[in-house]
Amino acid sequence: MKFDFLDLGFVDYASAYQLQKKIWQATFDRDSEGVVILAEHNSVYTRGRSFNESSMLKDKDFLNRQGAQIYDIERGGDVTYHGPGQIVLYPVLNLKFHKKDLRAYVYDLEEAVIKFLQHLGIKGFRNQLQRGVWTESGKISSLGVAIRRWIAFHGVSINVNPEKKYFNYIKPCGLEAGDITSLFDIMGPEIFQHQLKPILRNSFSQVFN
Amino acid sequence: MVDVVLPELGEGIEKATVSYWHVQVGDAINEGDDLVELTTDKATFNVPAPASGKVAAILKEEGDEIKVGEALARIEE
Repeated sequence: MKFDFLDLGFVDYASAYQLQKKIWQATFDRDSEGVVILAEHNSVYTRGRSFNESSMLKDKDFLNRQGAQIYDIERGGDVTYHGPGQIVLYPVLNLKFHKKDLRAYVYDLEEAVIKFLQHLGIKGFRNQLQRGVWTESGKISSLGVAIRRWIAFHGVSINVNPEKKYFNYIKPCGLEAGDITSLFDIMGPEIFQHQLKPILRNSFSQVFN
Repeated sequence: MVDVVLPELGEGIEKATVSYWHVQVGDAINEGDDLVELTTDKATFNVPAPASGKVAAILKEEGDEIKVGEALARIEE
């Protein structure tokens, strides 16, 4: 596939969501291959189609006071957290040019993250119980996607050094907050010596090109 | 009458869960309109209407599992 990366830097969730939808429409109208968005968000909780009310451990008012908004969105999966210290990847990709296969797409997203971790010397793997990417110290990457007319949006997040307290207020993807890990947890401050986004772009391109 | 069936979603995917109905019984629809959203493997997917007409029956509720090839709804042309 041929696609460009668009790094939005730090951007609020709602704006990035609107942009994904615009790019989806443009990809559909032009029958093009798509764009891969990179972003980092303010604190938000997003709830996918498999959201379970029991996954919210605090009410909306409490979460709003912590500076986190809540969004109900059309991706697969339960509640998850996004915030500073986390890289989010939104591949708005026309799967017609890759494989028209939902499971293969999710598998390939995981593969891109596993390759990214490999570059950092971390062993990442899949878990039979749940999609996403895990390490020996816990789950480091969550995913949830929506596919319309075989064009994907939403995507995958990788924990670099997020403020962990935000995971305590939910059961992320139905898990315990303690199951969540980050690159900082594994590598310590050394992580900041790496240019993470170029590594991620390369890993992603290796899988999808 | 035209049956709306769960299409092939990929290798090894035999079933999905109905996550959201975009239409109700009695709604007028055009071919290609999104009828229903399904979920599998943390991915959601919309099934479009195979024909224009009126939604005559909804055969699976939100939360129900459905196998590839099974009917989700019926459209009266």
